Amino acid sequence: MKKKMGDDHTNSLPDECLALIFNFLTTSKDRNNSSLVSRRWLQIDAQTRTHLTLNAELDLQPFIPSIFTRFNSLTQLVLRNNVKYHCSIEDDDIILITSMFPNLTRLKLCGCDQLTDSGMAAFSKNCTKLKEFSCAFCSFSELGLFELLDNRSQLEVLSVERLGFPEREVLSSPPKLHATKALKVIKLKQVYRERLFIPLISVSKNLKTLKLLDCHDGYWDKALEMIQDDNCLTEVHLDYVYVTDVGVSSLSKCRHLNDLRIVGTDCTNVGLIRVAQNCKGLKKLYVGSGIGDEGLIAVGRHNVNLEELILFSVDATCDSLRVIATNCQKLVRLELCMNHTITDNDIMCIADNCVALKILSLAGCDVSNKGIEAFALGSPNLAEITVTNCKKVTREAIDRLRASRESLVIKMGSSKTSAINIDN
Amino acid sequence: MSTSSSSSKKIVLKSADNETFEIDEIVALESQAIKNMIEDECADNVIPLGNIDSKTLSKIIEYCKKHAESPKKDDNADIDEKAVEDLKSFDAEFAKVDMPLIQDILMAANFLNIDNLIGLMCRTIADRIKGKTPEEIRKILNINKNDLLSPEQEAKAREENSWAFD
Repeated sequence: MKKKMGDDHTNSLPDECLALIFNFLTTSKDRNNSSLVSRRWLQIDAQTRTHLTLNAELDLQPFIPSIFTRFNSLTQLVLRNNVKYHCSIEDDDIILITSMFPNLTRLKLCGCDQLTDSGMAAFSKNCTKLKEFSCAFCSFSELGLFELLDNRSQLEVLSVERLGFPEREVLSSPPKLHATKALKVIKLKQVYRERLFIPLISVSKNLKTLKLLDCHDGYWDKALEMIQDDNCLTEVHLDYVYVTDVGVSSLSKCRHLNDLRIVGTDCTNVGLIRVAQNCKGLKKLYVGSGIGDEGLIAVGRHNVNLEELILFSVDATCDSLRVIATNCQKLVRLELCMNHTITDNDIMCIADNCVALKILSLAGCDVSNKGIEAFALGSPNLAEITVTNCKKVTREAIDRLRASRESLVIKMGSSKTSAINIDN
Repeated sequence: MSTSSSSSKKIVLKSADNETFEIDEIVALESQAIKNMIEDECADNVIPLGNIDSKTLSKIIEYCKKHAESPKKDDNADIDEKAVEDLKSFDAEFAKVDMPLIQDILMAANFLNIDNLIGLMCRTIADRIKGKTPEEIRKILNINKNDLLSPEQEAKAREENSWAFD
């Protein structure tokens, strides 16, 4: 390895080392720059790019053969078009692309507004190894989408945001669905023909996660009612979905449920109580308006394994918080947002009783310095406290708390938005 | 962990420039290649490394010593975080050397099959070329100009690249 200065060391680096270096370059910009360094680098970059995100506007068409011949190791592909400014690539393009990559495991289509249901049917046959498919603002409908789910499908994750209109009338004769053993996650956003998805949710026996978001129209109770008794759902999120107590109550058959989120629905205490009584393994709960003391008392009584609780604009008072604080001794994270009925007394009760609590967030609550200062001694494991939009809490009180608990991370904000991370 | 015990078995490594390094066997075992040689009993007490110079070899031994002393992740599920942090900061300090030496270490680590060290060196090189233009990368790594893309090849690759984004 003795060399004169000025030797090109990378010429002697074996290809596998260069490939490893490329693996640490995770942005397209760095990969693009690296590809232009030398002929060898161009080649090794191409061989090692397994993920690619491409601008999918129609003008991509002439470059498809050369781009996809160059990057011949792809397993994950994102095709993204901005529908505001451009038309997307078409059926034949995506059929060609998928035919070149029989090993594609993840495919994401955004703003592909020229794809039809028959196009989906054709390229679905090329995608037999697909594990994850997501689409947003594309033009095909459920008819095309369900082509991905034949009985050989290995699809595990299906994520759909807003579909196009079906080519034929489908509500009277919905497409046949096969039992999909592999499907574990279904996420639907702004999907309105719920009747087409109800059978899918029902036949997906191994479904673990169901997330419905912004599905205001449609009668989704039925989808929840149709979930089978021997389901293995662990995570259900209902965010701004038209469901009532009828649907939520039927989640009580989900014995394995540990993460539940009900926000912006018509669910009341009645539905929550049914779930609380039956789903004893609940670890994460996020509930919004419509819920009050009665429902939360049931949670406190039955869900003693609760680790995270987020209350958004609920009518909770010390009656329920006291039960939760005393019974749920594993509670490590508590977020209270826009709960105007929560006062200093409730907060002091939390400080006294929630021993395991590590993270506390208070936003838009009627809490004053007195409540905050209870944490000078209370909740001994508290590591982080965030106070947002609590007008009665002064900077001085925060400083006093900081002085008495040095290791505590204290965040104070005044933004109108809640501290709660709305994660979908 | 018998790192300081004087009775432990010793291995001698000999560099390309004929310098010898006596190390504990446990340190040498960090190298999968040497480990295989010892297991197959085809290693004498002195292992000649004709393609690694003494400067590179002493760096590699420094690395292997430190990593041999540290508790292994799979030994014990709850090794204390301090040991992990300690190793991390050692690695960070270790990588603060000039680019020719980094590449020599990488090639030697690749020859000796020391996985962690290969990873560390590759990550270091990647970090140094992040955000750089092709020309800057060539300069940093001193890349041979004989292998440059032709203007046509470069234009084609640039055109294709312009469709890929994050």
